[in-house]
Amino acid sequence: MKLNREKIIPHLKQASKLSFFEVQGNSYSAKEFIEKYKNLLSEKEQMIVDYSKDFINDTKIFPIPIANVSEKSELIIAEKKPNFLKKVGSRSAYLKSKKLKFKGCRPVGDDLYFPHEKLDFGDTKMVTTKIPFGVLTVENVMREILAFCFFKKYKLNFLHEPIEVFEYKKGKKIIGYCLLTKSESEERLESQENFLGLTVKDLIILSRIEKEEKIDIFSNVKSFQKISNEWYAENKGQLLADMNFNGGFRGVLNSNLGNDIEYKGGFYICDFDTFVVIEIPQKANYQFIKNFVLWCIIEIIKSSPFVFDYVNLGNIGKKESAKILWDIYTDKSMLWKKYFKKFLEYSRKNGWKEKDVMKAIDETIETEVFYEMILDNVLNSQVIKNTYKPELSFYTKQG
Amino acid sequence: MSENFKKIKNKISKTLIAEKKKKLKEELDELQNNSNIDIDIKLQDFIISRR
Repeated sequence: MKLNREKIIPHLKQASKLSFFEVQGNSYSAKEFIEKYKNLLSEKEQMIVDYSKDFINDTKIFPIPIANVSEKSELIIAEKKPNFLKKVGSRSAYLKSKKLKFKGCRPVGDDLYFPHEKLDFGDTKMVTTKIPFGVLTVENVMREILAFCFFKKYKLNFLHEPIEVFEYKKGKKIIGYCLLTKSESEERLESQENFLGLTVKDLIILSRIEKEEKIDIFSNVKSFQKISNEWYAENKGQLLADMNFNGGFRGVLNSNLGNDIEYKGGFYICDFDTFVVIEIPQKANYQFIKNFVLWCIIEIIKSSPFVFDYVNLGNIGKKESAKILWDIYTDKSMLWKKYFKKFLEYSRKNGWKEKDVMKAIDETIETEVFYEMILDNVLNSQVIKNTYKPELSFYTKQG
Repeated sequence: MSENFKKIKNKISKTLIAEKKKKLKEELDELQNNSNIDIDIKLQDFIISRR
C-alpha cells in the first residue's frame, strides 16, 4: 500500500482546543457492544470475554454519541457541547474531571485512511493495510474490551475500563466507532523521556569518543526523568512476560513506548486496539516456539527505550546489520535483560528446551521484520539515510 | 545546550571533542549529504518521529 503522508499530516495537527457536538449514530454500553460483536473474536478470545463479563459496564453516560468535529460537519444533530475535553494523540480526548477517555472521537471523513502495520503469527514480513482515520473499527473496539477482560482474568495491572461505545453514522452508513473508557491517568512516560538535549550529530560524536577513548558517557543515563531504569525495566519486563506467556500480544502498532504509564507507583500499558490472545499449547513444538519468540522480540524491541549508541553500518547487508544492532541492544538494554530473564523462567515452566529458544532467537534476527524494527533501537547510518523527513511522521507524541 | 549535556561535556575535554569532530568530518558530511534529515536535529525529535 502506498502511503499518502502529505494528505494525512494536516489532520494530525489539530488545535489542542476541541469542539464536541452531538452527532448521528448509536450509543452502546460496553456490555451491549460485546453481546453484539463477540463473534468477531476467536473462540479462545470469546472464552476470556465470557470469563470476565461480570466486570463489564452495562450503563451509558451519553445516550447520544458525541464527536470532535468541525462546526460545519454534516454529522452534527444538536448544538455544541461545552468544550471540556483535552486532546490526547491525534484522534482521542480526555475529560480529566471525570477521568473519561474518548478514543477515536474524530470522524473526519470516510475517504481518509491511516496505515495499519500487521504481523500475523507465523509470518516474517509485515503487511500494511489501512484503517479509517480518526475513529476505531468495530474490531478495534472489541480488541480493547478483550484486553480489559484478559488483564482482569490474569490479575494484571490495567488502567482503562471500557464504559461505552459510540457508533458514528452518516445517514445509514456506519463511519466508525469511539470507545469511552474510565481512565485513571493519561500521563504518559513518554513526556518524561530523557534524550539529554543531544542532537543526532552530538550522539554520533560522543558515541565515537566513548568507544575510542574508553570513557563511560552513557551507561548511567536515566531513560525517564522521574523513575529509575531499574524500576521501569523490572515492572515492564514482568508485565510483558506475564501478558505474552498467557497468550496476550499487543501487535506491532500498539507496542509503543508512548503507551507506557506510571500511576501511583504502578506500571501500566494502554492502547490495545490490535490486541490478540493466542492459545499456548501444553506441548509446544519448535515451529510454535519460533513464531512465539518472533512476536515477543518484535513487541519488546518496538517499545524499548532508545539505546544511546551510534553505528556506521556502511554498505553491509541487512542480516549483518541486524546482528550488529541486536548485539548492542541486548548488551545495553536493561528492559531486554529483565524481560528475557522472565521469558526463560516461563519457558522452563512450559517445558521448552533452552536450546530451542536460543535457536528461535537466532532465526528471528535473520527475518525482514526484525531488521525493520531493530533499526530504531540503536542509532545507525542506515536509518538516518533511509528515513522520511520528521515532519512527515504519522506519530503524535502521547505525553 | 542542555544541563545534562553540559555535564557530559565536563567529563570530556573540549579539545577531545574538537579533535573527534575534525576526524569525523568526512563521515558526517557523507551522512548529511545522503540523508533526508538535518543531522543537527534534536535526537528526541528524530526518535519520536520514527515511532
